[in-house]
Amino acid sequence: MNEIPSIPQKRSFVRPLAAALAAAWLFLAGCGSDPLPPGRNVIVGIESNPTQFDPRLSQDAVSSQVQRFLFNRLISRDENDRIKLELAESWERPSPTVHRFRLRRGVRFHDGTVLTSADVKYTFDSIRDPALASPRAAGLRELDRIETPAPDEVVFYLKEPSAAFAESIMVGIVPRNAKKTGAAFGERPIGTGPFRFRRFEPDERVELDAFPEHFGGAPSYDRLVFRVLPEETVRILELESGGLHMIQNAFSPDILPRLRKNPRLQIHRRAGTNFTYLGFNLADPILSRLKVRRAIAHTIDRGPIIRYILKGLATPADSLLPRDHWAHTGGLPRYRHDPALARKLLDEAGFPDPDGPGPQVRFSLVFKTSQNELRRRVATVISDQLRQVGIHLRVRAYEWGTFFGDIRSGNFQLYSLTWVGISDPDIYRYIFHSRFFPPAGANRGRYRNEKIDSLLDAARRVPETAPRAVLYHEVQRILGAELPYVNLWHVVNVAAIDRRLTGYRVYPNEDLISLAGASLAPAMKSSSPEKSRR
Amino acid sequence: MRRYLLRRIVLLIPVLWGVATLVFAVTNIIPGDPVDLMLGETARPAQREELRKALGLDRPLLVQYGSYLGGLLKGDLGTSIHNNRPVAKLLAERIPASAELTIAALAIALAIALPLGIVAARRAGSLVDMGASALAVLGASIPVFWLGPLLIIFFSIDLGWLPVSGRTGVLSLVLPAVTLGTALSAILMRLTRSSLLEVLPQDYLSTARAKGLTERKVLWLHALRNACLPLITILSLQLGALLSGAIITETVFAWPGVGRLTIQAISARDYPLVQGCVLFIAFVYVAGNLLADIAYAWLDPRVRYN
Amino acid sequence: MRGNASIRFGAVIIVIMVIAAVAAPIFAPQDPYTQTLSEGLAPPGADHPFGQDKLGRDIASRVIYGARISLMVGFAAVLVSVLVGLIVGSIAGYAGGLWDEGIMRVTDVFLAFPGILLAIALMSVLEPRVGNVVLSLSAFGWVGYARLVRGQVLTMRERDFVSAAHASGAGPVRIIARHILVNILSPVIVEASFGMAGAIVAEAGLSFLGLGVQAPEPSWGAMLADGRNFLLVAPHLTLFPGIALALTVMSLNILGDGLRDWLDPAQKR
Repeated sequence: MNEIPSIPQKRSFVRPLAAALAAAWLFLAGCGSDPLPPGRNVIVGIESNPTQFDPRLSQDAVSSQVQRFLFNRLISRDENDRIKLELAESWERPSPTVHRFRLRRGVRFHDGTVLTSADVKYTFDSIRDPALASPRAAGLRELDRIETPAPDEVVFYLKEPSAAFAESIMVGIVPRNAKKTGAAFGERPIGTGPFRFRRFEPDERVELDAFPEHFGGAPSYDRLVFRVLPEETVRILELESGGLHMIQNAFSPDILPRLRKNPRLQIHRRAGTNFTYLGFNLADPILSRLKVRRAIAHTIDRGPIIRYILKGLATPADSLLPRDHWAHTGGLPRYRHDPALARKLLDEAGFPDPDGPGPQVRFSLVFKTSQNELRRRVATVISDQLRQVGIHLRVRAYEWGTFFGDIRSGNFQLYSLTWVGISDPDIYRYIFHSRFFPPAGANRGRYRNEKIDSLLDAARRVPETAPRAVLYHEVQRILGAELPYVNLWHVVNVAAIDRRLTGYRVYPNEDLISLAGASLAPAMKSSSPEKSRR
Repeated sequence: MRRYLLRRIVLLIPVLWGVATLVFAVTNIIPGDPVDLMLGETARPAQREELRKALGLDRPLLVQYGSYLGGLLKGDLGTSIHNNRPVAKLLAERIPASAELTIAALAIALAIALPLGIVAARRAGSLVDMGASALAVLGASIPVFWLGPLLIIFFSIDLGWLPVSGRTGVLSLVLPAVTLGTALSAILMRLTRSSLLEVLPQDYLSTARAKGLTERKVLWLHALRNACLPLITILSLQLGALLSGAIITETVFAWPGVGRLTIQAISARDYPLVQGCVLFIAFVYVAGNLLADIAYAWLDPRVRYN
Repeated sequence: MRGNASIRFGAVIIVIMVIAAVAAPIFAPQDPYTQTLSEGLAPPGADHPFGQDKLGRDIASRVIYGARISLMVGFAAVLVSVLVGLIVGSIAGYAGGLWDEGIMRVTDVFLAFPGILLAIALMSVLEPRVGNVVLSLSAFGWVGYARLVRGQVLTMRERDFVSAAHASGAGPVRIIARHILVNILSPVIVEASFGMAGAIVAEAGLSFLGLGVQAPEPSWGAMLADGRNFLLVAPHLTLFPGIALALTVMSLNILGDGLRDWLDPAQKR
């Protein structure tokens, strides 16, 4: 290509090139979305797009956080994780299989129509309709039928008593005409929530407008904006320079001291219900041995991990349930850090260390994890700790789809994940009951114990809290001894908030809903707030 | 000219067919199941099968391939598995942002590369030449995801001149475009320099000088015109790389382009969307090549007869 | 700094890097894997000239060991690409006809296919190991070499010494290997030095997407990618691997430039 000969000069190419560049700039100047009007917006940073605005279909945390502002539920959880009435005005249980709700009066959807019991019935009927393919259908297995004796009265009839009923109906109520809009409902969602949908620019922002007719009163500001910012450093810089008013949990603990020093920000923290664990594949010939699992539990030293890596933003867990949960029991094994005991257990399990502290190992295991930086870091530390008792742990981080597929199909030895928003202990059934091997449930480690199965089945049928708790105490003791999981920690939720934003409260389950009642003080006069930082 | 063009356009068809086939094969090799990722773990097996059927994923691969190609022939890119919207529409939403970023990156790369390349060539071997070359090479050596945040810290935080991230008008385009264009500018600068060095000593330029043209005119009218042919080739070759290379830039700056869409489609195993994105990027690439060839033929009539 | 000077500069840096990589256990002040959690993110100091990373590992040692992995990934990816390119390109150029047409259309497809996406897709399928990173980078890396080699073979084929070899009864493999390849190696080597620079940067890009070389192995790309969340509180995590990577990539580019000027007499001044 270096042999192009000269060409007689007629046309100048410089001018067209310049013109093209100028045109490009004009074109560029013309596009781009308009900047946000200044003032009464509250802007929150999120890591990824919400994938779904239809509350019947969503399952990821970001989607449900955003939906809470658009939709109301019959009942929900308050800031102390207790059940409270939301759209329901009263909740009666005339018999263990009948639940009667009276609805608040005068509740309006964003399109002006009044909420009636027909909307509630439609919401749950459509969830059970296979055509909708709702991930929530399984939770309503005991539901027999719904009746609507009056516009403000809705009655749920169950096939058998279900202690998990309350949890299963915590879904945003959609209007019954959502049926007509079909799949488009997810693009223009209409609910009764304190904010109504304005627009969603994928990978950019979700904008919600305050809904003045909300039954709980209108929000004190005009617009709630969620900005999608995948890169952590950029989220922090946006927060520091005033482009965001809040981020919650979406930053490494290491950044906290820097944020704390910033006079424009305040840090809120609160113990949460998210539970991080190490899962074993019990079908694996090595990990099927209890002594090996116990040895691993005794080798993992959670203290330094929580202190140095999580910077105290976690509390050690001895059960899936947080310590202040009503079904949590005391006296569970803690598996304190004890490498000597671990070595002894491994010897007894038939895996002697070929050369003691030397480089040879008892056996090798693969530890699968997602690509999240903090998770990989924790995995690297655990691998280092296990090396000290002669176990070689290879950490393998996979792209999420591959990782999740492997975990579900049982193609793993060890993995680590977090259960989000643990509330009702019925979740145990879903995770450890032998009927809930994937794809039916999340018993990914193939744990099988008839005692556990019958305890969990029984507990689901007992509506009263106290006797139900007794059953779960037994479950926790058995699981604590048999170790299908190593319980690692419960995550402490932490939010970094602009001081101008007041009235926000961190919920244990990461819910952002208290933003609806928060208020934003007018901007300070300072012309460039970022100058004051340095 | 028309026959030449026609021949070139016809030749695009097998290439696009090949890309379509390759991406179909690749998407079906990747492990992970779109249905699992959509329904989560709570779904019953029957529900899973239902959805699989509704999406047409239960059919044999060859049948799926056939209907996929059939759709493409009718200009139908299919429907996203994940949110049930037409792939063409999803792509169309992202094209403005991607086009802005790509064009701006190209413009910035040219704006840096041409002057530097010219200066370096005219004073080859001088300190200026060495400095310019070093600068260009350095630009090509810094990973985008490191350069991006450094630029943000300097220009947005320390100086407060430009927005940190997002797509909020021309100002917000500057940093992502510089980040994306830096590596390209290095390539273009080197190319400008070397092709100028090649033509500068040639006879016709001496003739032009002898005719009394100023050195500036010689350079701009004669030398650069010839030097620009290889430049066009490289530009067209880089167009595809620029679009897919934007994946990282788009992530850093929260820029809603085709690259981000592609990454998300891959992680949701949204096969039709992945296929649509890849086809789009490939199409831009081949279209760019075609334009380059046309430009070539326009600048050098003899190319047509080859 | 043209021709010889560039070659010398580039080569010296690369040789230093290679020595560091090969003799990493000698040069590294400490074990690159030893964690000291309580000293996480510690800034550079007397014991740790480049500071410590998020797990308290010595960054200087990790940068030195990182040379092993980054250079190996870059070198291996280029080697595989060049080999495949040589074979495919020679076949296309020498056999001509339908072979040539077919192979060229395939390279067209690969050129049009966004390479980084192919690598992402492959890394999602394969075990995340160094060898597979190399494979993913080579999956689209070979195309450029194949086209380069084909073009060179096409011009060589018509040269007298090839015809002479042909006349003397040499088979095609022998002719390609003995007469053509040796003559087209120089542009390939020039291209390979740029290619290796590109592969090292591409590995860093894959690391950014979480698909590169895996922990605890220290590649420069992985160190940069993992350290980027700490840019605001501990910039030394990215500074040193970043400098090492940029320096290496720069040297490779300068080396390539120098080799091109040196090997191409038309440009020699």
